[in-house]
Amino acid sequence: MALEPRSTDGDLLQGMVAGDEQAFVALYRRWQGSLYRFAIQMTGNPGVAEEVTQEVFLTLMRDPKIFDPSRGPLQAFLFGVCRNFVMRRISEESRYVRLAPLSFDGGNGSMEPASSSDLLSDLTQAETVDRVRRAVLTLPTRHREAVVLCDLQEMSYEQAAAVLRCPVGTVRSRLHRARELLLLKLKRSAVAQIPRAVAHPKAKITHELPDLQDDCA
Amino acid sequence: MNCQTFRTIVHEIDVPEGLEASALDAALGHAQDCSRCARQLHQARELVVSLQALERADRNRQTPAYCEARLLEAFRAQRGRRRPPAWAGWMAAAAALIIAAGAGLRWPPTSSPARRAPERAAVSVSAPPSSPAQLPPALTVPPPSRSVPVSRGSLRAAGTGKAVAANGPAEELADFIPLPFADQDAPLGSGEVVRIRLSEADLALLGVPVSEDAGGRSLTADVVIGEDGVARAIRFMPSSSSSLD
Repeated sequence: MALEPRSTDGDLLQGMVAGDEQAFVALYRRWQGSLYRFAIQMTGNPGVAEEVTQEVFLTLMRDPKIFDPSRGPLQAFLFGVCRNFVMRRISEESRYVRLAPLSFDGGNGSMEPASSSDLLSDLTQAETVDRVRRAVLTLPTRHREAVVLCDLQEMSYEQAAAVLRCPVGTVRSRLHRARELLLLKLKRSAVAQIPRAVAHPKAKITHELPDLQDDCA
Repeated sequence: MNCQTFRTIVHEIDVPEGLEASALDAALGHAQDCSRCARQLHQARELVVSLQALERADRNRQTPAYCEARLLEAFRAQRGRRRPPAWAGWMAAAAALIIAAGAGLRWPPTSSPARRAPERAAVSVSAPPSSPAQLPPALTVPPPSRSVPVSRGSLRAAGTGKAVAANGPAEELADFIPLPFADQDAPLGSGEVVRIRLSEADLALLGVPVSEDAGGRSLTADVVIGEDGVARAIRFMPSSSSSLD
């Protein structure tokens, strides 16, 4: 089967069911990144995200008939399966106490190398990213997945609603609440950073979220 | 727009699918007049910028290469389990030949599922018929009391593989074979199906082709008899059909 870059998900899935290895690889490469990112942004654990991503494709491989095109696109199906595995892992992980902080240094998608001319800017950028990531991970699961899907996966409300199997209005309200919570957490985080800023005068913490400290006084 | 309303929509101001144009204008106008709401809008936009930074940082994140390798290995194993062995094709072909040979003993081929057989009628052939166009005299006697009425439609249906309605235990039955010498265009009237027992040699008298070495073995068959008493079609019970060529 000659696969074109523009082959649809349906074509690739059909090829995969027929045993076409290239179709399977193409399907995997098309979706693995976003699924992996979703899993890592939801769990904060690259190892778990790897396993979850593999489980999604193993599920599809073992029983491709569980995907019903009449119920939605393959994207919604894959993210729905991924979400189920993620929730299961989060539930399992919640039984244990995390001893070490999460590390996001590994993986192919680590931060781009900082240029020497703008090292401080990159440093603050990296800190911003790190703080936002941690704030997202502390959100309640329902709100977290809304932020991850709409803000980090850049899905529309409709697409997120299809993944979450809920009305669009629910997505909107969860996202609104999630952003309010995020702002609150980041304000607290910014306040906590002030002593470090004093200790390191070159670090411009206020550059990240300048107005956030105003309401925290 | 008041501050309370503004607060409920502040996170959707910059979302393309978030607000209608009128609501957006009202919100932005309110933010120009209210410093507190303007600060909230600024914070909301800062948050969006921060989330975009996180999105950019993760944009190129991919699963390690070994994940694809593992899945590919699993895919090949799965495909291997699904693919039938090479000899399965030959086995299937041989089985098809055997089935085809078995089906050749019956004509027309059976295409319908299990049917209900008619009530057994205690009618037996005691003498060979005098004319191939008519049933033996023993068959033209008044039919058994538990014989089953049949219509023209059902006779045609029988010829096309549809079941003739009848009472009795369910069993796998062949289709009715129109008798060669019977006038199929003659009105069937309130025809009936009767079950008879006859010898193999008697089949030739009915116009049914039989092998040269057909003996005197007894066969059981259902015969469709028209209102005029003339046999129209016949079918053989499974236990007796194997002797036909």
